[in-house]
Amino acid sequence: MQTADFIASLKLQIDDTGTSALLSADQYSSIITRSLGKVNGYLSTDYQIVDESMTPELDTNAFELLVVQSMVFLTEIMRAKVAKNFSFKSGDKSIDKTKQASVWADLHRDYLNRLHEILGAMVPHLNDSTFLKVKSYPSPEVFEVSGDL
Amino acid sequence: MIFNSGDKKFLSDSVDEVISSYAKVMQVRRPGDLEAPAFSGSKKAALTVIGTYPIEVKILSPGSLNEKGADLVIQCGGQTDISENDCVDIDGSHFIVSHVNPHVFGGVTTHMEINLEKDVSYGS
Repeated sequence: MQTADFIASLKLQIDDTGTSALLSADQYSSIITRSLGKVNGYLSTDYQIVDESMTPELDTNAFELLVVQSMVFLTEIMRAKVAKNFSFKSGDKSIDKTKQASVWADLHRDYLNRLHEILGAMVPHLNDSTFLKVKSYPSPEVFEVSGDL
Repeated sequence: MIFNSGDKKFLSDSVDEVISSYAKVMQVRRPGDLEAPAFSGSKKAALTVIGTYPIEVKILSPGSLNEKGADLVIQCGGQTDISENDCVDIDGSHFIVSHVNPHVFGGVTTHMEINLEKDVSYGS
């Protein structure tokens, strides 16, 4: 499979088809390289990128795993990218993209859980201790302080 | 708040995104040097096409337009190459730029509001 075709399918998944790309070509390439390395680790395979093509041809399981692992990395990058978004008003234009970070964080968590499910089914010998299953991101504990302390 | 280059890009990109979402464009043409007088004796400035840019057309009442002295008010991105006296074509209608009002935030021209007058030389 050509890496360009795989990138196109990733773009389709996150609707990155507009004129201004969410991620650069370098970032997409990095996602594929890292994800393929992870897939090789999970499945003990030896997939490589040679001349912009993934060889040998990925089977169904490897392809599914590569898609989900790529989405984990992709959503991770997007979380970092939008983390610094701020709201502002200029003239009559009021922009607020501050909620994007939590949306990408939710997606990231969903794909991590999906990755865990797939790995559980494909590679049964991997137990839960091997992978971190993220139920929710940690939030600060708030302790009530009683008056008699 | 001090804005770094990434923040400034975020400012202009965000407003560009809003304006582009209206899916309307204008073509900007700029008058150059006057051409040699024709036999009819009229002089006509050559127009150079500067570019095509996304716009947002502001819906204003006739009273508001009158107050601004404009036939149409549009907004475009802060990086648009446009200035007073440029010719603007929108959906086959021809206008002349009478006023450019830049909106600046954080040291960035996020967008510009443009007052347009109908170009009567086209007879429309």
